Amino acid sequence: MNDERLRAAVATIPRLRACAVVRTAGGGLRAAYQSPTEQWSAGDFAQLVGRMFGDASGALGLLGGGSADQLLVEARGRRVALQALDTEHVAAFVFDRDAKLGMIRHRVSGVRSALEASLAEPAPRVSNAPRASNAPRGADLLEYLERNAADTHAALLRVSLQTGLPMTLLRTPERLSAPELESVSASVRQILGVQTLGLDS
Amino acid sequence: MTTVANLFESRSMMESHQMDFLAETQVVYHCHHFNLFFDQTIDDALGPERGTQLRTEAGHKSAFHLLRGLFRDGRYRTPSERLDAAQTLLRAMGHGRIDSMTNRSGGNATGDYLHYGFGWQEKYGSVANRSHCADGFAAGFLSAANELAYDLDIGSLATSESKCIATGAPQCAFDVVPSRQRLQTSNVHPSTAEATLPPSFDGEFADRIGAITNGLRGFLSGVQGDERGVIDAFGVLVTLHLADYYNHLANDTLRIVATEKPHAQEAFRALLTEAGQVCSFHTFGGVLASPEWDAMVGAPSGEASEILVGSLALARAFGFGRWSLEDWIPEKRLVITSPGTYESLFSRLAPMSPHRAPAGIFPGAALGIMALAHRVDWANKQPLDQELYRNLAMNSPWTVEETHSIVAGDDRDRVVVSLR
Amino acid sequence: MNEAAATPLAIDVGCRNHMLWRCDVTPSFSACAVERILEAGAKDVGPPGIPALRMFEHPDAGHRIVFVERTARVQLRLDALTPHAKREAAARALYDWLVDALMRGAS
Repeated sequence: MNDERLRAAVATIPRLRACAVVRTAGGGLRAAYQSPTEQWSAGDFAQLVGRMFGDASGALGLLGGGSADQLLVEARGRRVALQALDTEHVAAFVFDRDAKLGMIRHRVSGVRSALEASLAEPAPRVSNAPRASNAPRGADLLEYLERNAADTHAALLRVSLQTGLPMTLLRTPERLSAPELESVSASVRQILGVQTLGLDS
Repeated sequence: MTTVANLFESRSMMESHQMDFLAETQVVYHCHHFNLFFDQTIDDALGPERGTQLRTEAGHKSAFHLLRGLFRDGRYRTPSERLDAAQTLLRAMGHGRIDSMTNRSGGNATGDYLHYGFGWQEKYGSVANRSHCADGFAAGFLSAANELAYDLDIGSLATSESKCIATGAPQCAFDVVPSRQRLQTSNVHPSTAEATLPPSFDGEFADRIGAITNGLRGFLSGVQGDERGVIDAFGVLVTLHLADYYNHLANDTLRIVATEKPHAQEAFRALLTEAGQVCSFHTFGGVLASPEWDAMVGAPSGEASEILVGSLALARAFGFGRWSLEDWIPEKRLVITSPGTYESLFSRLAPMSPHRAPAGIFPGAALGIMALAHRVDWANKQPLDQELYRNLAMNSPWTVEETHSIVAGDDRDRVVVSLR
Repeated sequence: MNEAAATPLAIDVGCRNHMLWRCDVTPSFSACAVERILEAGAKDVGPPGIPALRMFEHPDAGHRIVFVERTARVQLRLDALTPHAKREAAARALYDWLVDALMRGAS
């Protein structure tokens, strides 16, 4: 499970503003998706969701009703649905206030199995081999760009146009030389409007 | 006293080809989504500094042609009359407001609600930072207005934007200084358009498209910017813009890219097409969903042919050309033709060059129209927001090909959208 | 009470975030809607060229109320310069103003 997987699963849900997959124990954030209008901290939100879900499950346990499966919270500007996934995770869906309750339940239930399947996938293996340089690898850079650019689908074309590197090369980023990598890195920073990328931290 | 009605008296239309002129300069309607993406592509190709310079030059050249045409009849004689007319016209076209304090040696100017800076703030201001100014078009317009106000040759003045609301300034500011730029212009004139374009023709649903086009044109004839220079029509941030601004930029940029970044030509062409897709999705989509459309035509029911017909009528009413439907197989194939578009007409008239600017609006808009027709849930009023656009663009099953072009000597422009 | 004069406020389809909002005037109020909006002080601002469309400007805020007479659709179109952070509140205030205008004299 990562941000991209989550985006692919939920981004077409009408009136959905954000979604976060959260560890129920401790409220750690596994993955987040936010539409551009949502500016709040996904990490802070995850902490509160973990706590809220734990409290609700605790209350239901007192009533003898078992743990919570789906919770709905209505506020002035939002409707928030919490959906239990596997035994360790809960997903929080943030909708517009005018999203219909039936549609919310339908959509949340519909996407549940896809999220559970994504959580069950083994985590990608991380190589322990030292990198040739401190520069982030090309694939990392471009994946980072795709995850964060405003116009995701056009981002690689923009890198090509800014750097002068052909699309065929950018599609095989492992072939980038050190100077090309530096050029791509500068382009990614410019497109995202940031000074540093923080990929190697 | 300059009035917009006086200024708009110089509008004319080449009905057979659905092209529009203001003071004998070709004009089209475009919204901020397209305008920002187009300018961004230029800056991507050239870098912020050189991109700004080229955008300013394109604004200068196209605005000079416009204002020279406007002042030709002698109605506006003194510098103050001419500057007032130019600034009123800029507002009427929805580009915002400029106030200049200049003489024939230059001076300063301020700008409020300028389309590019304001549009950038509107679209990206809450999610991104920008470090370079956005209003190259307004800067070029200022140079042209002052040159013509003081009867100077084109290139005698140069304007740079020193502050811009897109970079966080409360107001845009400009410096106008003497210059010896050599600017080469190549502009489309109505008489050359008539002499150049192939005979017109129609396609499927011709009567319906024609009727809607006429209704839209009737409405658009009364649309103009308010005192701030903001147009309120269809709920879209729209401008009446100079076609040659885009055409100069696309041609000049491609020439540089072909020379200095030959491997990036594919990306440049693809991004111009992307700009066209942005245009049709946001502008056509926004208009189709508007109450104006509801009252004129009826709210879209979800029937795909309605969206096709409406989109082609919009392209015509916006001055893109006489776009017609040649063939359509739902979900699978869409063929749009036109006896020239505002892009191909310019390229055909421009000096022969191995680096003619590619069509962007025509193929891109065709892709966007296919998505609007088949991937938007109109019946349930699906929001046409950035998120939907991104998803549609990333998951599009279609590709587009420009099969015919009047620039290549064909009797029509033709694009084919088909499954990948 | 609000629902008696108009359907609940919702975001309308549009390409600018939270600038366009929508409701529909309920049938018993649609015939008198234009009159009541004008009586409440809104300015009739056209537009020319579309007979079935009425557009009004709020007396103070500059926001517009667009009314399709045939379908009773209302679009609340916030002024183009309304900051992002204030749009939802502005739309709700405009909606409340509209409903008050429609309800006026309906006792």
